[in-house]
Amino acid sequence: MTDRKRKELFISLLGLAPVILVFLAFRAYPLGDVIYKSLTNWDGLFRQDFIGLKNYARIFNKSYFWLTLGNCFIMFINVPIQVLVGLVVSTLLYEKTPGWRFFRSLYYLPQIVSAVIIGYLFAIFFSYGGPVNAALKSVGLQRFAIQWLGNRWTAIGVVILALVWINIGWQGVLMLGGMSAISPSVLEAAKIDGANFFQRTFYIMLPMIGRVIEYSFIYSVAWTFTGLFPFIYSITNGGPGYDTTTLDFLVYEKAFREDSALGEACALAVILLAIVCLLTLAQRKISARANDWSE
Amino acid sequence: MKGLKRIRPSAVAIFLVFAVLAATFVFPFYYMFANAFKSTPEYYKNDFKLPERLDWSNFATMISQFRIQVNLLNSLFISASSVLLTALLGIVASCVFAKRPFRGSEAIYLVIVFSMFMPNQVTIIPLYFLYSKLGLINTPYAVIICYLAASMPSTIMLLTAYFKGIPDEICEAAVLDGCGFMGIVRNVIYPMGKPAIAVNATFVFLRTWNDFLTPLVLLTKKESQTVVVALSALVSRYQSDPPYQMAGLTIATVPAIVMYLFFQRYLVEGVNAGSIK
Repeated sequence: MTDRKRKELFISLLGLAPVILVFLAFRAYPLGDVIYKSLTNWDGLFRQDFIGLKNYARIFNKSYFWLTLGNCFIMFINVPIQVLVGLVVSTLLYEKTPGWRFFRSLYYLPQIVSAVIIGYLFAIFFSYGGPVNAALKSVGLQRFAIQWLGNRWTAIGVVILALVWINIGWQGVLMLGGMSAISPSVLEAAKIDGANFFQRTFYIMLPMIGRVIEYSFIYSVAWTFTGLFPFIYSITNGGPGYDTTTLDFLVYEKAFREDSALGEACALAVILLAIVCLLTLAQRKISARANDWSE
Repeated sequence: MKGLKRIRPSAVAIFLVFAVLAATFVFPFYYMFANAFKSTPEYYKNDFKLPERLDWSNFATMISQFRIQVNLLNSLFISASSVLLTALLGIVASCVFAKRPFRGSEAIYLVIVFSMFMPNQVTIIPLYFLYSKLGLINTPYAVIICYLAASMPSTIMLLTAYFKGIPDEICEAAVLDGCGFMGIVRNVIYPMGKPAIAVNATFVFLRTWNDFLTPLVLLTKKESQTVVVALSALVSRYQSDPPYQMAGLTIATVPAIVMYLFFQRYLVEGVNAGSIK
């Protein structure tokens, strides 16, 4: 290695050093720590004895863990709904009717507002004395004016509605981007061959943005496991009981609201991480598949 | 107008669908803004109507009693520092990955980018205890460091991809002109990479401004909290005073909306660059 080369390498390493340092101290170290502590009876203070997999065994024996995990899977319903609505919206946006830019911006708006604030708006809207019930009463549907957030299924419904609502814009922008990457000449050719709007949509557009749809699908599934915390916190606070608690909310609850069982909280965090990793690996596999038409 | 274009019936139908959908997006924000300017009795009389007059007293109380401006400043400091630090470290590192790869740099790149998928719930427990040992709980620095670490993967992914598209010849020319590594970063990569840097900065700002979990855990004192966390406490405490709640939500929302109006273009680009949410 020449002197110049060595000096270049040294400078490159110097450039990476801060990032690597931050990464090791604030990503890698906590990751290792949380895995180690999940194997102890850590209480946040002095007790920290190695107890093997006992925390995991204890968690798997608790009914609220399975209830919580079940809630996560129920929340998955939001994914196909938001992908479907996003597809419809983007297909219509692609037609570029007057005002489409404005609508696109408006639908994206909830994405830039804090999720907690959106959550509180939903909580206020669906509270017993809130605008939704007021509207129902005013059109004579009193019997549907209920405690939306006091019952497991309606509360989950409200959360799912919130998740779909805030993501319509994101889905729309993402898929419209995929559609814009399709060469217009392809659609022109189909038009000349006599394909109508629906044929063009179903036989050309959708297959060609297949990869974007897959991406958004799997991204949203992973997000459903990790991004629900602010919504649950503000809309239902996990209640009634554990009826609307999701795994990411449970980690917070166990670690920072209940005393002592921090080892268990760490084990929960590791379980969450394992699930997300599996989903991410699936994502990698799918996006590695070469069906990129946009090139 | 150059010859009125024939309006297709399908366009009208689409426009109507959009307008109905738009109403569901406008209404919650209308409701929030309109009621923020009402007194409590006026709210209970009719919460759907526009306020009779603009009553700023909810906001005045928010400032004089709740001292929301302190939390706004905290948020601003945390988000601005995160944006600057992320950009600084991210640009230099991405430049190495894109223009000065060496044996093993690809592996480092992959490890960092892959850590993007690690949820914050996983690292926050050890970090809380690490920070309390270092005495950083209730300081903005604790949160800024978390954001720096959490923003790095997406930043590096976006910037490295973009910097790779900058022609090597320009960098080589800069070397012939006597530029060292930092000279190339300053004179070539930074000016040519500005669009990607702006996209990234916009996303980091919004994400950190709106984030909830990290500051909720690390900032427990009211005067050190970010505006979003402080308001979540306010909203649950003032259940009986909806206009006051609405004023609080409005204060936390307006800065994000202003950012959005200015940097909307970058957001659309960013979503389509993939992976950023």
